[in-house]
Amino acid sequence: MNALALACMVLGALFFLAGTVGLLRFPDVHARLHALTKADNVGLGFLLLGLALEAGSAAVAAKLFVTWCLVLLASASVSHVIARAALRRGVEPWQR
Amino acid sequence: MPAVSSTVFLRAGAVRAVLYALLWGVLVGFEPGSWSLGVPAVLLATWLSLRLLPPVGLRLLPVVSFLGYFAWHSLLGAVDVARRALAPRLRLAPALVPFETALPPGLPRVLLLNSISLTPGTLSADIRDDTVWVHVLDGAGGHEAALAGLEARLARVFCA
Amino acid sequence: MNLDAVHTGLALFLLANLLAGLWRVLAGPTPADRMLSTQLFGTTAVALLAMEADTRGMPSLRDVALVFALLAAITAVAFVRRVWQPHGDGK
Repeated sequence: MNALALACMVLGALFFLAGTVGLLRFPDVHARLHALTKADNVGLGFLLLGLALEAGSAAVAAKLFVTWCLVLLASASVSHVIARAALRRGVEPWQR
Repeated sequence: MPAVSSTVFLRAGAVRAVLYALLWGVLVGFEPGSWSLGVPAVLLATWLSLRLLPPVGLRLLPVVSFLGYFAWHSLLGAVDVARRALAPRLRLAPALVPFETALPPGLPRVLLLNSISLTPGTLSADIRDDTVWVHVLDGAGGHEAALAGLEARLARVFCA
Repeated sequence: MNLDAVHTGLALFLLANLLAGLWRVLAGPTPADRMLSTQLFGTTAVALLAMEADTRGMPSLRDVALVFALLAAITAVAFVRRVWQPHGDGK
């Protein structure tokens, strides 16, 4: 098995772990959004990169890349929409 | 909607049709038989996209440079938030800071909001008039420069 | 190392991750916190499906992953626009 592909996938899984830890530990919805949108997106990127390397096919790699771009676009927009709705509903950001 | 000359429209249409054809090829596979559905789909998508989003002037080199900058900073953002999440003690000092943008409404602003959310420590939470409300994980500072840099790079992407 | 074993291990890890994230759905406290799980489910489902496409030799699962990516976005936007408008029910 391709060592680089394996490393990418394991790294991706670790970012997923960090995203979930942030989701559980961070103090409010806004901070949790940071964790999910950033860590999970990059985690998925590494995981898909690993799968693409493993598949060794340009067609598969291109499709996984398109999927990743869609996820990026979707989660950036969704996080903005959730944050805005929370603010306007009066969910004040947590302060130290 | 501003008046756009027909050459600009045709050029934008041609570029988009090529991109949609590539997308079709990626999704379905470049098999000759698939184009009997693919060509109508591509034409329909091109027509719809021109109706929904009239041609925007983009400059190739700044686009490429922005994508590189964006990819690198997304990675930094993920590393930053992962370290904060996994640290034994939570070191967060969140704040909501205003950022005045000079970018015109429409596509440039949408791109600004989305890229703010994917760069380190910042999340676009709301926009009212020209003010973007940015939620930052660490209010200690340094965000002004990063946000202004992001905006400047984005401004160069669009033809004046 | 066996490829299938690695994939299965990673898939189980991601599933465990997803289950842990479910705690946020239960705990809330605001509806927005519960909606965060759609983000988590969206990305994790895409990751799992893309891996299964390899493991099971079912390339069409990659298309399912792509559709999931689209649906996750629509779900969350629909929720916020239709269910959780300001002055709506259930803060």
